[in-house]
Amino acid sequence: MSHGHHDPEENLPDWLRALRRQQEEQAGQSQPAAAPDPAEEPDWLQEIRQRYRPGATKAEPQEPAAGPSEEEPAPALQDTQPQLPLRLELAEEVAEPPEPWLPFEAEEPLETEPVDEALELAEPQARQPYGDIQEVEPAEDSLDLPATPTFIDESDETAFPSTPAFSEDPDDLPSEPGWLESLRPIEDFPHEDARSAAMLPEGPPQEGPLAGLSDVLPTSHLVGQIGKSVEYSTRLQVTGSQRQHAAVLQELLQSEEQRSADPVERPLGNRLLGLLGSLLLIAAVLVPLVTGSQSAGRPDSTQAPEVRNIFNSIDVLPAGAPVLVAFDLQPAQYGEVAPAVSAVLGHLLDKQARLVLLSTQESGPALAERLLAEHLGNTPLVSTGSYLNLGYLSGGSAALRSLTSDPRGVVLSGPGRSDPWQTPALQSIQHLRDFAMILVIASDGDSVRVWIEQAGTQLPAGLYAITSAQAQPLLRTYLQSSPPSLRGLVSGVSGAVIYERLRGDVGLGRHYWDAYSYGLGAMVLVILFGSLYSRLAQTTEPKPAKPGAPSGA
Amino acid sequence: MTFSAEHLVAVALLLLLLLSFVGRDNPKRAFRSIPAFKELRRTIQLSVEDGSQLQISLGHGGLLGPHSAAAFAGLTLLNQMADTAADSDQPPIATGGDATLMLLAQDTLRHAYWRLKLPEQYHPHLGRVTGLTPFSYAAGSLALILDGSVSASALVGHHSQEAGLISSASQLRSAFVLGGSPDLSGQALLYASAQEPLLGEELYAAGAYSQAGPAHQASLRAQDVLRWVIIIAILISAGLPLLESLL
Amino acid sequence: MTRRFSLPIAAAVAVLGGGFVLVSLLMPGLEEMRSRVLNWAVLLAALALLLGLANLFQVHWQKIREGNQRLYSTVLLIAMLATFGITLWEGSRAGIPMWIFSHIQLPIETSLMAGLAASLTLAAARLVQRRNTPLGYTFLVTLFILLLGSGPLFGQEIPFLTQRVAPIINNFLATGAMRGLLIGVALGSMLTGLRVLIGADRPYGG
Repeated sequence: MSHGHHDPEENLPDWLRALRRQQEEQAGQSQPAAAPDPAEEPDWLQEIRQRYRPGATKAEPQEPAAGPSEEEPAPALQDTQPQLPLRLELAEEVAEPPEPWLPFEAEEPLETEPVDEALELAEPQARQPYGDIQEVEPAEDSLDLPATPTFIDESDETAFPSTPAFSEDPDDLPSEPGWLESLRPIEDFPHEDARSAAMLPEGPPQEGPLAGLSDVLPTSHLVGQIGKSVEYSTRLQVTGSQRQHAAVLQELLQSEEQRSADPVERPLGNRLLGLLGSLLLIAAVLVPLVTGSQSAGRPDSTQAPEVRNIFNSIDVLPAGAPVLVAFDLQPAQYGEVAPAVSAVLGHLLDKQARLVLLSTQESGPALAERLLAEHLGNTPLVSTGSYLNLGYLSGGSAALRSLTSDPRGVVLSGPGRSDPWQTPALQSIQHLRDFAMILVIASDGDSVRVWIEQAGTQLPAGLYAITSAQAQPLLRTYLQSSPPSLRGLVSGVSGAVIYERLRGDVGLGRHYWDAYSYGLGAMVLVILFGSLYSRLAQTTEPKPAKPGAPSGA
Repeated sequence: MTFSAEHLVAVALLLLLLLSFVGRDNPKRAFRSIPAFKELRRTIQLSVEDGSQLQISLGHGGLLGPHSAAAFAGLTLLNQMADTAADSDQPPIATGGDATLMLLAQDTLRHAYWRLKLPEQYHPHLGRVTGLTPFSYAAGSLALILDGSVSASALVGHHSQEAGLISSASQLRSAFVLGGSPDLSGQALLYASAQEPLLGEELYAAGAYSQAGPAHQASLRAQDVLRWVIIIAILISAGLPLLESLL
Repeated sequence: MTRRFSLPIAAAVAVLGGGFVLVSLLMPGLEEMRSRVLNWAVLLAALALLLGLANLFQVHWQKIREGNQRLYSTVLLIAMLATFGITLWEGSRAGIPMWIFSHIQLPIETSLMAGLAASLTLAAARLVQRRNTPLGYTFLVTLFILLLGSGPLFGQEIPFLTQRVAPIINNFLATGAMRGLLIGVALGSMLTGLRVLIGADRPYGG
């Protein structure tokens, strides 16, 4: 930065030049390069110098000095400094937001102070000094700016609240020299100092009547720019909602600063973890499926009595018994549930049961058709179409309630379709309890729970279910109740494998079992190493810089 | 006389009515802090300031089942969010996996705009169905999150596994995710994938924590009272046989 | 004006309808009437399904008109209209609708599920970063134990975990915790329902 030589007084306002001339006349000589003799200075200037001598800080109130300064309150000099930013007060509110939830309330002022009409004018006017600053900004390089004032150095936020930003009472202000009063526009200093560090004063002037003093006046070039002062009320009325909005705005700005300052969040490591983890999972599942491996040991049925219950119940069904199968399955879980469904329905079809399919899910009927065709198409009852698909029952649990009380009133035969209730499978059915067995095939436990709640009490034979593995913990409650609301359950791939084992069969479950086992192992490894990596990354990650801390520039 | 579900409903109704009138102005009655709602409040404000969009996923529970209560909680939150953010650059958008929910979401948003005297800014597409099965609903929401300027997603309603997809996509876009579901697997998934999960009955506290009205606060208090009653009943029923066997 | 008059009517219908169903559950003799009312609701829900489809169509039509991701929306609308038309013409169990379901919808949703399994595994792996709390670690440890106890790992079973530890967690800890959560959810659902029943909470009409 180059500093050009120029006349330091060329930008001084007339009144300051007049003051200087008056001083020179009184002193009889001019000493522009040295600090003025304290004995020759006016009292008010000595007093300011005394209170603002080097080494004195705001945190240490000045010792009461002899003379007029004794009668004046210590923080008088603050009036010559820029007002502290409003955001510091707001920061406290952000840390502990007030209850109740203000943003959702009507915008009512929190404070009961009367509205200060002058404030409405003050706010736009207060920005005017800024406008001036911005206008002269290009010239700042050529100016000798004073050192950073102490109030900027003391950036510790805890020190700020002691200085009220907008609570000054005009009556409390100390009497000051007229010329200083004329500089009062600083009273309307903007709430937040948005100037860059380069624009701020750098130190006390080395010459002139204010030599050795800092922060008494804005930098000389500003003095030249500021016009006449306008007196505005400093009392600011802020509604709770406005405070909240200001706090949010400040937080927004801070978060943006912080976001830009934060180091990039190890994207490479996270991406690698994601890539490797996904590859490992895919490989672990694919390899056993492709190779047809059947090395993993199958679980024993003693571990799952609920599976044995359903097997035993089907095993004793008479030939031709009507069985209602509620196909409340979602397409996403089809792959997981298909082995168990094909095992259990295969058993039912072997027992010559008359299957009646129904679904409270839109995609249920299509899934049922697909499963029967894909996995059980070879059985005589399916290949001859000796089963009944009643389709989709809309209305969720309300429809189930109606189905329970009056099945014939709910299931409507569509146009062009024969009345399903006249078919052999349904001729004898008047109530749900007339079915020999009701089997619910569901993606989640909630669907089974709805069946239990709406229909379970009216079914002496109880309900049976085939579900995804995720439903098992929830349904265990109903299995353990007394009497059990749920008589039997086959869940997930492991349930399918157990059922197949009970039947002495090797089916889809066995085919999937190794892939399941290897996938499980891969999952454990990914979570284990991923967690270790995450923990390590967290401990080695540099802590983000405090907002407001120097960026090192 | 045995205590049945009908008795519990009757007691709950009485408590709700009683607490709607008694002690509603008592400032000492404060709810515990739920960080998820605090964070959501902050995020709503931030989204209004930076002109990004809020998305509320109402789930696929529908209105004709036990999951309708979760959907109502989501609609209450939508109502409050709309009051705050409806006039922002990007108004909040509600997605659902059930058509009845879409109708209610549209109605809620329309009336929020009406209250704000901005009826001309309301558009029916602010409440939309993104799919009619859980995963198609999630897939439709993904598109909205990935190509929109969504800064926050609130999953309040009946969500199961598909919640994981929505929250993962939101995190990919660095969006805030709050999630609550009555479904247990949904809760477990949201605990692992959302920034702020709502566990158990916290989901139903959305209205009380967003100042939706005294009825919501009374409802939450009644819920607390009943919970304690049930806890004590469980302890007694478990403790008495133990005591008898010891004696 | 419309709102001023319609809101009380909507509230009255909702309160009366809900109240009647609740009372009919508690008092015998009203089953037939309740069944009729529920059937009305079921019919309305079925109609709402069509409205949902219409909404989906409108949203993507609007996107096409605005030029916002026109390609995706065009494909979606064509697929939707084609499927709807063919299914209406042939019936839902005919060859083409079943082929569309089996070869498009089913694989897509199953793939999403598979993707979800991978993404959740990775989310669990990164859980420490986000939830570095005792509760977060408890979650992780429980997850580990349950995974280890779910079956053989890489073909090798650990009997101590599968036959002893995992059943204890499943049958006692998990079930107990779940019941607690479910009781909370049930209470919340009940009180939300009651709020709607007494008209204190009106999701209709804002």
